Amino acid sequence: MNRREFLTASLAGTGVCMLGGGGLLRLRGSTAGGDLWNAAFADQDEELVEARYYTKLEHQDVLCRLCPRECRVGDRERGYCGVRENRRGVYYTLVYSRLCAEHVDPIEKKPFFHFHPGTFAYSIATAGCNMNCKYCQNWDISQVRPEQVRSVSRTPGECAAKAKESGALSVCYTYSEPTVFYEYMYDTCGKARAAGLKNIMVSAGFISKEPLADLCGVLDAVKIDLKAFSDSFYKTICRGKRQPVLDAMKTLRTRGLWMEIVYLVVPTLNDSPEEMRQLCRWALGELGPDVPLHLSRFFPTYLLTNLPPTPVDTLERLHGIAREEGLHYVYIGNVPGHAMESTYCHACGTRVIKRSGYNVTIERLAKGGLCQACGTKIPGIWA
Amino acid sequence: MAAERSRVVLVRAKKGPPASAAAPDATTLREMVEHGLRELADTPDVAAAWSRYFTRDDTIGIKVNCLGGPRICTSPALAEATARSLSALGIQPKHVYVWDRSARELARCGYSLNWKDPGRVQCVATDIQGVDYERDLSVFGSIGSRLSRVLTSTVSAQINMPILKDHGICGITGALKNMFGAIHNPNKYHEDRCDPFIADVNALPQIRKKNRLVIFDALRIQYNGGPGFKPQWVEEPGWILLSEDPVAVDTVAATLLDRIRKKHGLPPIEKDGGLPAYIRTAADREHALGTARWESIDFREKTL
Repeated sequence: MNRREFLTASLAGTGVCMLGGGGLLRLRGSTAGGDLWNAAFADQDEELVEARYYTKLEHQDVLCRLCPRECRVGDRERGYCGVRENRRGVYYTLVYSRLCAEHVDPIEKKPFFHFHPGTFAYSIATAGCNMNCKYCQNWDISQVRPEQVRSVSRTPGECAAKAKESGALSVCYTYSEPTVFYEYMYDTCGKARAAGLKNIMVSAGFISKEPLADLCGVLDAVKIDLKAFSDSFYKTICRGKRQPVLDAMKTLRTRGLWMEIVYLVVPTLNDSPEEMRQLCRWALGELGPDVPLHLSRFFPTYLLTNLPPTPVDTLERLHGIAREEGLHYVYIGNVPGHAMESTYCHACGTRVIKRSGYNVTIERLAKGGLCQACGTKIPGIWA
Repeated sequence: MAAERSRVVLVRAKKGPPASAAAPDATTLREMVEHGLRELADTPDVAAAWSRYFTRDDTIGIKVNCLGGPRICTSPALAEATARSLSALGIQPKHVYVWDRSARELARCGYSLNWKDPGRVQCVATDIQGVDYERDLSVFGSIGSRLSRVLTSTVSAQINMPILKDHGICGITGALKNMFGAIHNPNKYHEDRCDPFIADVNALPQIRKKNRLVIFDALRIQYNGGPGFKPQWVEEPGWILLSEDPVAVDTVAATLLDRIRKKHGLPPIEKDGGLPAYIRTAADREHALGTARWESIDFREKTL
């Protein structure tokens, strides 16, 4: 049995496993279980791909340099992300070609509002994340190890072919945290680009400078989830750090990639007007006024279930502050049908794209992204 | 815990340690377990001693630690000896589950996986098909984790059987740390020297209620460079430690580890010579998992 056959078999088996109850008692009399794991793990060793961006240390330890966390990892241990493992001094990615999510989504779902609106993105993820946000919507894939989630084998070339076949314009690396499946993402970007597809990433931006710089060469657009503008929020709510994320955003801007920012507004934790002003002033100074900012509504989930959904008027108040501070394109997200889902020309105020949920109508946008009312170029990547 | 001193019993073999910690003598190990158990329970009778912690109707888990590989893991012979000793209480092998998180790690350490033969001790892992972790999160303090269904669904009571290792991040690997092997996301809890995460995991009701006894494998100790195996820093004192109190036994283990380190000219695991922070947290009022005060520990050393 090779790895592909195993994954296929285990997917079939996992359906039972996920639905079944009663623990080990269900296994008694089974003739498949023991043989299956042996075959799987024996084979897995041969299929592992060595990780990039790490340093070998004494006593078979390694230092991971993929993200600012810089985990020092002993033999047989994994880093914080749970998807990179040290085996006798060699660091491996455990998620190469191991997809746990694969969908074709409207690009607005990411959300990207200024990057080929109305198109579709073939969207993929593996298990793992290098943060642990208490409100993670996808914690069941981001906060688990690869062996704890159902997955299918899909090589980078197969991904590109699937994306092309689906009619999508782009391949989107999303759902969990693409940084932790860096090697797989990078190689898939190459195959996708060769097939005439765009590459877009949805990330928290908690990535080290060197891998990010290399990644800039193969990506077309990035959406950054800026968690807050306070370091304490990053530390206590997300188990991360703010400054590396801000640095990553500056790098993306400098390198000329299209970027949009999502800011999930969590009641009482990152919703103060002062924090929003600080964020906007920083963005204006470092990124310019044209980077879209999406203010998204929070809903209780995962470990943060003691807070209510964000009141819509809070979002509207923060929206007003962001506009007042000078950002040109500020949106309200997770409130389907809200007027601030649509795009208005920053020069004349004309609505150029109407949105309601994932329904998109190009109203007054000419080819090349020009406002039909005043001729102003709307920033973005347009058809 | 506050009013009564927590007893911790260290047992060593009569003629020094077993011939080899990698392949200890099964008879000796069983004698060591039973000797320590009688001392711990204050009774000369093995069955009576076991009955202090378990009933004959229990399905008993033995949570071992196999992460470090075959040269620094819970001894399969010690787990087997303990399982056999439980027969004194009338508990059959089919009702004893030796387990850890990974089948591959168990097999590498010499455990023979078994869930088919009722005549033998059962040996399973969370990652084999049909087992898995609970789908729902269990939450305490700063942690939110899915617990192994071996712990939640299969066993009714448990023996925590850790090993003693230096740990470069949190100080030591011992009884409290061994419960990281019962959750799906231990990699998320190594920041801040694993504090308060280890204490929080052990405070989960499912763990607190089922863990009745610690039998600590200190036959071989990784006294420096852990948690991975580093042969140049291994000592084989041939000890086992027993206690009902995971905090007290970890307190003793940390102290013993520091003694060994001192003998080898190494600094204590904590700069101030005290206990790792997570052990102190486990003893605080919020967690109340046991005592970390030496004066509240009744430490007894016994030789066969």
